[in-house]
Amino acid sequence: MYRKPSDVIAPRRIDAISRQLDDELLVYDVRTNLGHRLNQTAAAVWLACDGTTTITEITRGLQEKLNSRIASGSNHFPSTQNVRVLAFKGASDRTTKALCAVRFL
Amino acid sequence: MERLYRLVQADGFCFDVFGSRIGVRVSASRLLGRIQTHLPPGWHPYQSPLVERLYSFVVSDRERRLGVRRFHCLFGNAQILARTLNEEELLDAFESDLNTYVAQTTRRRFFAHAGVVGWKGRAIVIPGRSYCGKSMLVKEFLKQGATYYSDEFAVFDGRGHVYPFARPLAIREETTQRQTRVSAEELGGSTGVKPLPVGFLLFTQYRDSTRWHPRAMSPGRAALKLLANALSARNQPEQALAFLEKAVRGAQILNGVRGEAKDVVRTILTDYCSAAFE
Repeated sequence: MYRKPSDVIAPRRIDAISRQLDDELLVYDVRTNLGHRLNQTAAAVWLACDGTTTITEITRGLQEKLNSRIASGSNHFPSTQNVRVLAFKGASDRTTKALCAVRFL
Repeated sequence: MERLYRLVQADGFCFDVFGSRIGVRVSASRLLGRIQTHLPPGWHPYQSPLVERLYSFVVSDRERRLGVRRFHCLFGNAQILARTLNEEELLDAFESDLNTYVAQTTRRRFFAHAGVVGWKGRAIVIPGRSYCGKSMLVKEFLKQGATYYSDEFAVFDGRGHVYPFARPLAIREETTQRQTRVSAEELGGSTGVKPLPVGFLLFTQYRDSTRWHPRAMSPGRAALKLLANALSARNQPEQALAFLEKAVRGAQILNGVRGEAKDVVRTILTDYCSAAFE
């Protein structure tokens, strides 16, 4: 059954270790052995992906939290300053693309 | 393993270093003294015969015969690590493998490739792998009065403090790139003993005829760069991040390509560290 990208639930990553350091979030991807440094905005997205929240709910929550304009697009990667999007383990290709489609303006 | 055991029954000993229990067996007792000079700082004898890793030295003591080469061999558990005609090369291979093993497996400490000196009660840490020029920087810091901690590994504990790992400095000759070992005392410096909190992190690489224009770096980025120089990141990433978080908090962090070590070191000690470390 087709689900709109914004209704997809972003799965929680269980193969990554994260650690808060001042206003940055360090994420170590155990699959690829790569470390990532997320700024406040990217960290908020990461922490919101808990396996139960949909993209729409994440977007709404971030909008309130960050007080910024967020637009939902479809099927394209965002051109967001300093945000690096991590692929989600076990996620379908559609889920990944849907999450990536959250753009920060 | 049984065949190897029969070859190395001459002598042996066990020791503990940073919580790792290591055993050494040799086919010739004369090697023991030399082996102990290649052990990491902070080792102490350990009485139990149960060890995590066992090194076996099989050296040939027979007379030389024309047309016959008698190799010396080093085994780590049952795996051959080195096979050479030169005993000193065997010992170097042992030291290298042992340092790597301890750095990757110890749970009490976190090892990162870095040079470290002490200055006014704080540690100046210079992360970097081989050939980035960190030994030259350490040497220059010693000449200007800093205390020697290491030119190979920064050893962090759970509080983020740095411990000494004071092997003799490995200084490369400019023309031949051969390494010679020089003690801190020979360079007019002294060796540190007690752990120090990190006061300054310097990420740099030598480039000829370059002026040093450093930029500040965020603690998060510094932690990732230290992680990239770590030996245990893959085995124990959670512990590595925990140790690094403590280490980089509160430290001044600079990044930039440098020229001559003398100018960089003088600038760091006078402009950056003198006020911050009071």
